[in-house]
Amino acid sequence: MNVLQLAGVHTHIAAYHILHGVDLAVPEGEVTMLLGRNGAGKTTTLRTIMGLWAARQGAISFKGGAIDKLPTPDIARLGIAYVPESMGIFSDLTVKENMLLAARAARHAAELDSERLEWIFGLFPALRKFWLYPAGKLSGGQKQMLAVARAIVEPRALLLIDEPSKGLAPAIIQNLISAFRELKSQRTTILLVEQNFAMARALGDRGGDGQRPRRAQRPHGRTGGRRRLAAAPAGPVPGSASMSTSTLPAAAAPAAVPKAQFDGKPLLLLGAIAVAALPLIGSPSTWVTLTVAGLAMGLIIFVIASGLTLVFGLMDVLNFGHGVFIAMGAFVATSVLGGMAGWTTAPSVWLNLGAVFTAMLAAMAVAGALGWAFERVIVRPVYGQHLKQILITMGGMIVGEEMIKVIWGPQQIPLPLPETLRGSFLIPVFGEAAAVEKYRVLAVLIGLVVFGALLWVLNRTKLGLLIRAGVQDREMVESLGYRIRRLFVGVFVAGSALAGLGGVMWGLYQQIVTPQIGAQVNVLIFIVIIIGGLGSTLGCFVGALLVGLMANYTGFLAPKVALFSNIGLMVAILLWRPQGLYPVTNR
Amino acid sequence: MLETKNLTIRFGGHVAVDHVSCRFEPGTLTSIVGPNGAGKTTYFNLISGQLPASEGQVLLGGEDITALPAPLRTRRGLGRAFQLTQLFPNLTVLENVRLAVQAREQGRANAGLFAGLDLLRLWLDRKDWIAEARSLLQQVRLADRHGASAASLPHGDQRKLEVALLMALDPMVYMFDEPTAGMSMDEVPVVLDLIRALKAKKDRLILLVEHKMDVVRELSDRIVVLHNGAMVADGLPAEVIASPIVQQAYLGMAAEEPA
Amino acid sequence: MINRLLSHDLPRSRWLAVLLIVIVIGLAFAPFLFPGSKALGVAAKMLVFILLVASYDLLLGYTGIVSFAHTMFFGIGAYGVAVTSTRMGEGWLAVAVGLAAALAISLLLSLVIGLFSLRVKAIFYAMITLAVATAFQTLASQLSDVTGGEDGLSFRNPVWLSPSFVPFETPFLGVAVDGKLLSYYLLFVVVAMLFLLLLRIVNSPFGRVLQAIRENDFRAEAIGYRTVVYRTLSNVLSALFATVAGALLALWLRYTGPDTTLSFEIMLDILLIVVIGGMGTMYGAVVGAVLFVLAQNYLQTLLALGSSTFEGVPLLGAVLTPDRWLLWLGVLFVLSVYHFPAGVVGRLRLLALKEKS
Repeated sequence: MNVLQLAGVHTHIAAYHILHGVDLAVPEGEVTMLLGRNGAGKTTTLRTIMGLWAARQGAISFKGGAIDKLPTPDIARLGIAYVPESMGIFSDLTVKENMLLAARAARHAAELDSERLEWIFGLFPALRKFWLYPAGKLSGGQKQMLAVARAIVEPRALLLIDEPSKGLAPAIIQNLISAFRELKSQRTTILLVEQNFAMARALGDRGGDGQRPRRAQRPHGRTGGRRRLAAAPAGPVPGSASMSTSTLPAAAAPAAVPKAQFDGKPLLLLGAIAVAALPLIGSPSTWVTLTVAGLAMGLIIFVIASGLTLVFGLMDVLNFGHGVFIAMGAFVATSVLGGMAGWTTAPSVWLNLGAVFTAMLAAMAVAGALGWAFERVIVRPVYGQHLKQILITMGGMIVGEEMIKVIWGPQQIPLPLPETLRGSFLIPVFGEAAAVEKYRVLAVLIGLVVFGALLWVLNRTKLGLLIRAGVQDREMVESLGYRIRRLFVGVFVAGSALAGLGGVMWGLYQQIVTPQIGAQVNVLIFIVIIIGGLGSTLGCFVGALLVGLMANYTGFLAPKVALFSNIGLMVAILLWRPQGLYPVTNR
Repeated sequence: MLETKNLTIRFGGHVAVDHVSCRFEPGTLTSIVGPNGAGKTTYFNLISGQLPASEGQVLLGGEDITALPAPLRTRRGLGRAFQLTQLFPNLTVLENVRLAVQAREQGRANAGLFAGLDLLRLWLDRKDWIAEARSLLQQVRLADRHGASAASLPHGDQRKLEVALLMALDPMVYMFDEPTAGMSMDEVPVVLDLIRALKAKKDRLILLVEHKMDVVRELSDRIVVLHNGAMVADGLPAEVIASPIVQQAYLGMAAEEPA
Repeated sequence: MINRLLSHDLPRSRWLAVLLIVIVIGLAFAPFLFPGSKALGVAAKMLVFILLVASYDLLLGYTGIVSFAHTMFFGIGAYGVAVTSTRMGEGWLAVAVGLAAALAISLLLSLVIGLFSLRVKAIFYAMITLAVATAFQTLASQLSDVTGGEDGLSFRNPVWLSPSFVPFETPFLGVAVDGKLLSYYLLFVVVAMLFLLLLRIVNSPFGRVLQAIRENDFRAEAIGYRTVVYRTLSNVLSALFATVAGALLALWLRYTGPDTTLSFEIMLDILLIVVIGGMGTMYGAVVGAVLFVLAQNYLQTLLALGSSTFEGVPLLGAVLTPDRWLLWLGVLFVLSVYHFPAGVVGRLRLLALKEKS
């Protein structure tokens, strides 16, 4: 029974007609090899099967059902696993996380099939050893093993494997051959693309029988099973003086896999600035006031910026219009709090907090909805085109802000704090009393909760895993069976909602809301995400705190300079780390 | 004369090019061969300056150019064609080549920082550059497509244009990275003829990364084999191809159409 | 002769040529064709924007660099002239000193910003220019003793450019010959010359390299061009021309303030014009600026009409008012980026090509 069948498949990439009427049948339970030299179209065939490139013509059927029009995640979900030529390893994720991502049924590592895992460790012992290390630190051979392990972490109906032996030392290739032999003995169906004939000889049941991916422009481009292998020479050729050879080097393995080290320098910078400010300010109580103010401001900015940096990191979308969500959130809050005057004027902390949280929830809902519309109408048509994104999202922001003026009017609207949240706590600091505004404490708490929640989602949930993996290699995430488009929209909406929340917090911080609030904060958040590194949540956090602290310290010490403290900070950090504090490695 | 001494590059823990030392003489054509992932293109990138070396040196005509950025190496006579076609997509075919001619001429006039800052003359007035570009297009049989945008060309023509850009630079060292990859059988001879003509000049240094063994056998004076970043064989074509080391490393490649 | 004047960069479309001729004649004879100070003001604004946007096209359309700092250089030019005229007393010396100082400051700033682009990616660069421009805007408002703060600076022009300067009592072809007229023609001549200079620059070997960099800067480096040098120079030239445009605006208005030159709205206007006109064409700046300024002035009248018609109607009334001009600008902006990617000039040239074949 043929598990996979291609008939008359043509694939074009841009102007280049690569596959000309490819016919291929992959029988169940066997290893089929697709052989040939570079450029013959082997990788293209696999990618076409996987739906990464669309077949313009022809039919592809899997287990009898047509798959040529299906999107990649759906094809993967039918039980096809793909190991690309580039391996598709998520370097910033650990080996464990890579495996977990590939195991669609498991929500966390505990749910992985331990028996199967043991079997995989038996095939590839290195994976057990480096289970908790970032996959990027593995050697080429180990990465290849991980890539194959991912493909078999759950039983699959078909494995598509592209040049696994590429660049590997013979010893490792032997390892792979044993693993494939074992898979073969378990009647796993494999379609294997290879240039290495040793592998072919060791494994092949059949080689793309009678079917050759042809290209009309190169009628000589022969591949497929009818190849004869060149006979190896009988003995060593007498070396002549002009030729030199050496033994084949093993692919260098790292002496010891370096532990995943946490880069703490930026945090030290944060601490250093806070500490350095103390003697400059002089009075410890003032320092406490300013530091809390700085932290509060920083955390509010973080809440707003976190969505933007994730959107950029994941979707590669430059949203220059993020400010509109901030403004929307702030204005919604004015309406909600205005309408809940009973609660905000009451002397009860709970009612006050209740009003504030209601306003925040409303703001997040509206901003999120606006974000959904924004993504659909404005952003989606221009995926991949940065210049257009910049222009269009700015245009979108202008339209949004003007609509806000239409609804709420063009003037400023005060956003007073509720009764019990006004005023300050007096904290004794070395004998003096430091005035710490109550609202700022609340802002810090909320900011920390958001930060904690984001970190938790990103690091402890599968959703977060998907996002982090998607930031590195969107295509591979789709090949593992996840519909990344939905993830995009979700992240965009979440980012907009967070901006809305930030808008409320900012409005309460300033106690006044203007329609320009979006544009004003926009510049600030750009500075923050540049400092932090596009796509990094931790970077965004540290960057925002740096900006908040700097603004408050310089505002006190040298108000005239305060304006440029942000820019100066940004320039200084870029000179130190041109990609930001925590650059994210993209594929 | 081009030489690399212990040239090495590491990406994180991975050594992509491993202490490769080699000396190339003018008037020779050396093929660099090896399986996929052996580091051939990376080695080229180290020589032409697209990648910075972690260790080792690159010397051109005795001068240490290891610290020089790519444009300045080109000005000193290193010409590079790329495996992944690198053209100016929305400019015309003619303009693509003319730019390379202009670059060469401006580079020769002034090898320093401010070469080619010619703001007030008309580019159209340099008819000699335009004429030379046209003649180069004729050599690669693209003259009739001169007004088309580079992006609109089919893949094979784009590869020819890539070669034409290198030819326009008229350098002392030619680095061809899989020049015929993706070309149809009738397009390949055009490029091979060009390379043969270059060889005939007897004063150019040609480096060639290629997978087609017949081409390699015919054109090379010498073959260098890379495997996992290190040089494992270096010598006359017949010997290198027949050596068991090379056969073992490079099995698939050796099993091409028997001649 | 025309060919050389236009640096062999012809319209290449009959309709575009006609349009350009109409525009040139219209602007050259504006005081005579469109009497009244409002019309002249509109024409003067067109001239300033032509220069401003053409200089931006050099950076964005030809070199492919997105920058939001253009209004900053515009403002530096305007404030340069305004500050010296206020402090040194009005006159040609003040204008010369102001312009020279402004050009020097712009040169320095654009060099620094341009060299900074060495170390950072293009997206970062765009954001950085936004931040710098915003900071500058705030600075201008803050240094009120120098810049007049939010109120800006009003000053007097050199005598010959003053409205009160009337050399000939009798009107010439129905138009009074006064300083305002002379100012207008100063603007016209300077803008015309600088535009032709820009046209020459983009059609020079240097200009061709800029386009190569825009298309594939990796390849441009590989054939021997140090792209940093070219990008920086493009930055500097663009900034210098914008500075002159700012000085011209200041001379025309006899006033400079944060919102005449530095506001983000103006940066958006520039972006809109360059997109609608056609990026990388230079003529796009001419056509775009004229269309835009016309629309801006007369559309507001239209909106005022709309608002009185729909007064009382809940949403429509609020949306169709001249105060909400920006809303329609934004919508227009978004629509043109989607549907008009090559701009007017690009579209006309494409049509001309299709006609030929």
